[in-house]
Amino acid sequence: MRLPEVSLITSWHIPSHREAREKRDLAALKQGLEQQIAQHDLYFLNHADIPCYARWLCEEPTGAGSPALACGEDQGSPLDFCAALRAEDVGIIAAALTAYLAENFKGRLVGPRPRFTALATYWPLISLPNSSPEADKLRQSSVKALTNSLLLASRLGCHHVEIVGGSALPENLHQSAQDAREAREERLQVLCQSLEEVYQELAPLLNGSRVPAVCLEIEPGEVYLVNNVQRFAELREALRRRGFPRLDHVLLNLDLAHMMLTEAEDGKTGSEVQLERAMRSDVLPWIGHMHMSDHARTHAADLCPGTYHFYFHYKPWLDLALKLCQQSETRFSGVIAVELEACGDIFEVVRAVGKTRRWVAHSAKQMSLGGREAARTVQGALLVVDIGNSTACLAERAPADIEECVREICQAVHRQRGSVFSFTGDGVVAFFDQEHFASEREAAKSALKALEELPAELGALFQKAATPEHTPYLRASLHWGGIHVPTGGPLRYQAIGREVVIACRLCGQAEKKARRAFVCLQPLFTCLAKVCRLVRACLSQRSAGRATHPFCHIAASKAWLETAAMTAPAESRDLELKGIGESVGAAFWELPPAP
Amino acid sequence: MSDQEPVDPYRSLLYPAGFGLDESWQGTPGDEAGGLEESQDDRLLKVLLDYYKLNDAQGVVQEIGRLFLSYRTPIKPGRCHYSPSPTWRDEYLLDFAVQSPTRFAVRLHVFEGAGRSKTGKYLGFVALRPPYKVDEADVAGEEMEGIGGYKHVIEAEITCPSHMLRPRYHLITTNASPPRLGVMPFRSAVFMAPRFDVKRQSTCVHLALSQSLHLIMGRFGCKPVSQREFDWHLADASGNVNHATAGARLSEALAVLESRCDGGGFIANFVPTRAADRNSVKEKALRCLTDTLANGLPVIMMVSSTLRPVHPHHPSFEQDAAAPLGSTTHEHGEDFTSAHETHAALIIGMHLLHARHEVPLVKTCALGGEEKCPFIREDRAELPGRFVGHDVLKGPFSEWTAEALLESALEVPVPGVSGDEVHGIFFLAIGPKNLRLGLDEVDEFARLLLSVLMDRPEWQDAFRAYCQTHLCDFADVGKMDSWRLVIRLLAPREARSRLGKGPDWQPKGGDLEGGLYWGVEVWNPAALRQSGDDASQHKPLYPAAAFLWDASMSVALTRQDAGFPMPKIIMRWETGGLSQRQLTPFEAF
Repeated sequence: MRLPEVSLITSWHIPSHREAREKRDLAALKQGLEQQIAQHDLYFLNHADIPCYARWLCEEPTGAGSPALACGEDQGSPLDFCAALRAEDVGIIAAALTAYLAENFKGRLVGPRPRFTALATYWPLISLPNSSPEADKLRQSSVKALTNSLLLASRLGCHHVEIVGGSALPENLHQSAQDAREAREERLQVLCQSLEEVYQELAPLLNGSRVPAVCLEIEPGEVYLVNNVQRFAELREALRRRGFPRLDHVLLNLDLAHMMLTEAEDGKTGSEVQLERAMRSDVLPWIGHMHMSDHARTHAADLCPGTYHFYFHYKPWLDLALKLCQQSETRFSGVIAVELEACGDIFEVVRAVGKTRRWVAHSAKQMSLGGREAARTVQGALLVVDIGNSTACLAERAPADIEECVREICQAVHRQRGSVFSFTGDGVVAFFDQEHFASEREAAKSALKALEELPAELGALFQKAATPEHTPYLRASLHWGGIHVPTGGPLRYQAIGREVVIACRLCGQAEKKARRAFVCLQPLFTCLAKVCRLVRACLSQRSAGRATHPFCHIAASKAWLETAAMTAPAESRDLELKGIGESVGAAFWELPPAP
Repeated sequence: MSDQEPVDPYRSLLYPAGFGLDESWQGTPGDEAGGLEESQDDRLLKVLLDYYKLNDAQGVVQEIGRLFLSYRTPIKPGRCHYSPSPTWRDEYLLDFAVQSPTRFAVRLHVFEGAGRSKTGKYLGFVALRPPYKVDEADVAGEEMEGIGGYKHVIEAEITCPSHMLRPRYHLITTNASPPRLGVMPFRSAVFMAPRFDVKRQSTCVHLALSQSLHLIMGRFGCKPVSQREFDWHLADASGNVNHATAGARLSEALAVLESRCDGGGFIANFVPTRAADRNSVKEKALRCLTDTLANGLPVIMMVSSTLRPVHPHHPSFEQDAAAPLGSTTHEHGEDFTSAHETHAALIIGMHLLHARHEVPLVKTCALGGEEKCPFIREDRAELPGRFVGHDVLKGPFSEWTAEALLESALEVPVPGVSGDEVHGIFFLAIGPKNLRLGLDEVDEFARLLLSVLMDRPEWQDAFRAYCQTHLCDFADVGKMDSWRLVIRLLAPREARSRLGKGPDWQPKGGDLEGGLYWGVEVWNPAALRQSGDDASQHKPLYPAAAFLWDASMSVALTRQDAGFPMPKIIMRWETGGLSQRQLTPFEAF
């Protein structure tokens, strides 16, 4: 059974103005990573995070092109800052964030990688009616900010962006004689218009990549526009009537604590009423994401689940999340995000995450008592890396050296958004889940990119470990296929399946085959061109007598080559792999040491 | 921690949550790390400058000083951090999304100062609006000072001042409110500050209502309502959005309370029909107010905005405040002009045992003297001399003398049914859902019922027997003034216990189930236990009679039928305890 992952929303801590200005860091994310929490919903955008993003943009030669982001000046409010971002800026921030995760994660390197599971935003002026030029400008800024948030999500491999619907009330009750119900309807239409504009602006920026969905949060209270599940259904119906082309991308974010604050009806609690409504056919397929916390009777502060409401209150919702996770075609993110906004206490946060995980596991156990369910496979790129000569060079000299090498390999994998699911003594089995990328091709290429980072990362270590007789080197294989990764039980987060075995066998063949048939690849795409440049550099180094052997022997399966849209090398061949029972097409090449 | 410091679980709130882990942390805001020579304001300023620019930080320091004026103690800042605030969440969405960079408030924990090097007890925490831009042209500083509004303080979850921990103070506080904001429980009474730049006429009523709902949410499960939601419901009821901002009557607040807050309540009215009734009306109101508070129900009273607290005075209180937060406009219409602006004050406690000057109207009987009371009438002697409340204009834990409070209430006129002005004491008691019957009404009904019963020979005999047994004078047994009524709001099980019955006891008719009841006990103030019998010392002393009214009863309907509604249970003392009597309205009248 696939269990929902439990992530943490990064708005749990907001550093003071002074700290934000002086440190220019992402304090909440960093502390979460240091506490070994791997999955985070990125809150975009806390005002205290702006100095860090501005620093990244200013340090990048191509960044900070927008006047509003001029380095060293006041970057304005979150809305100003986000709306002013260009697509290039978003790309820079995404790359920096991905690297930040790998650098700061202090948890186990085997298991799900540190990653962003979704984005959370707060652009409530997106439903502001066009009552004045200023109001329209604010709405347009909100549209731009949401577009950039979705673009960032895409760059980070997230597919869900949570938003709030904004206010249902006119700004000034003194001046408005408008009936409150009409005001709500007007704002609903404005929200529809804004969503249309967002997806129109987003389409050309994504270049055909998977389009992230917006997940509307239900905010309890009558002053809010989307304040129960019924209102969400009404929004979708309004969009449908307008002929909104991206109806598949307007989903529901269920904040379980908010559900418990909704109005009771006919002897049923608010939560029961909302659950019943959510199970109907016009809502159920459109549940995109979930938030988890607790509230005490009023919408005060987010508290650890189990403070005022208990397992049995949450169980029906957790069961719903589990059911959605088992569906092969689902729009659900597969994530329950713990939301403890501005709680400021990392120990409380860890408690909330732990309790949610425990509750999810317990619900899954109860649900699976009925029988054995088919294992769910996930598609993606497999990368198996192994250190050659490790026993001769590294293990005898210092086990700590192997530890350092493997850590570098894992972090390189994490930087390219892959997860390490097994250690093999002196190597790893990594997996690049296509669900975490905008496209299959991007997932496949990221596996190669991780490999390409290694000469620079490991070169010095290998040189240090080299003996007169032996020099460490790498063997690696690239493969594409479906694997099974249990999300619960004793084999949790281990890669299992035939494709894993093929990738491991292929890795064992990489060195032998490469020596027999060195291939000069004819790249069609940019990344392969880079490989060739490295190969040429290696050859020239060889001729100069500075290197005696390649840094890494690579074997790539035909399946991977096809997914990465790379042309099979002329001298690729079919291999009979031991125990596989059928031949596997593969190509071989080498990576030279870093120049 | 030195030996002299208090044993206080809240001391962790002196430090950041990650204390010891955060390398950048530069010392405690409390006493441990230097700063011994710093003044209170300097310490506060140092902490606040992490969040505000200098001008704003200085403004916050002033507001906090004003907030804690009634504490009469130096204060020290503790942990300061961004945190959620329901009020700021609404304000941010509706008013400040452009002006402020953050939707989180700044939370400052506050301790008592206890000398230069020590920290005293924990006082609570204050939610502050984060830095935001405001068009200064809209609101002048002196105007803000004049109305007693706050620019940064949103609300303060605070415990009472130390001097109110003395036994004569009786305060309604709760331990349910701090934990909803993620702070470990302590007994507090939230104070909500009015925003200086908003002149909603409904503000004082709303804030009083919201504060009282926070006080009883732990006991009765009520749900506080935000200012916008309050206005929304006012508008929803009348169908006119403008109506919401004009002001709020107590009856409108009660309607919102019942429909949206899972609460209930009643409005008590005490209107003198002629000048000579003024003192007796004040005494009745005082008794009712005391009993209402004694039942744990906070009270919102319409008073004059010129009502001053006993101590301490703030210079701004002396100004003749314009009080734009009051409810005047709506109460009286646009043409109304008065020296006394109507204002809603929340009363949450009292100081029992009074000085003569505090309650002059009961001084003679309470203390003996001219009327030569043969014994102390505790129902009069115990009347509080001072009341404690949160006045959004004057600050938290304000104290008023009973005399000043009641006189202030009588000063402000309200429109009567025919449109002319009525002077009276009006207050709204906030209680659990389905509480409709007022304590003042129950008192009135009980007295009417008692007068009817005392005309009956069998009841006269029973009362005479009661007085003989309990050694009190039965010469005046037929006079209403010889009897004292004790009124309590009771759950069924508590009612059974009070009546000396078992947990499963049912009255004739068998319908004492859920809900709440007003229990009225009829006592003779001079009654004593029988002497000379050792065993009798341990016997319970029962009242002469007891009545039980269903508190959810809708009075308006039943009054039309029978003059006043009959209680669900009527009990009379007989040898060995209370026994139930059944009376139908026909028999009674």
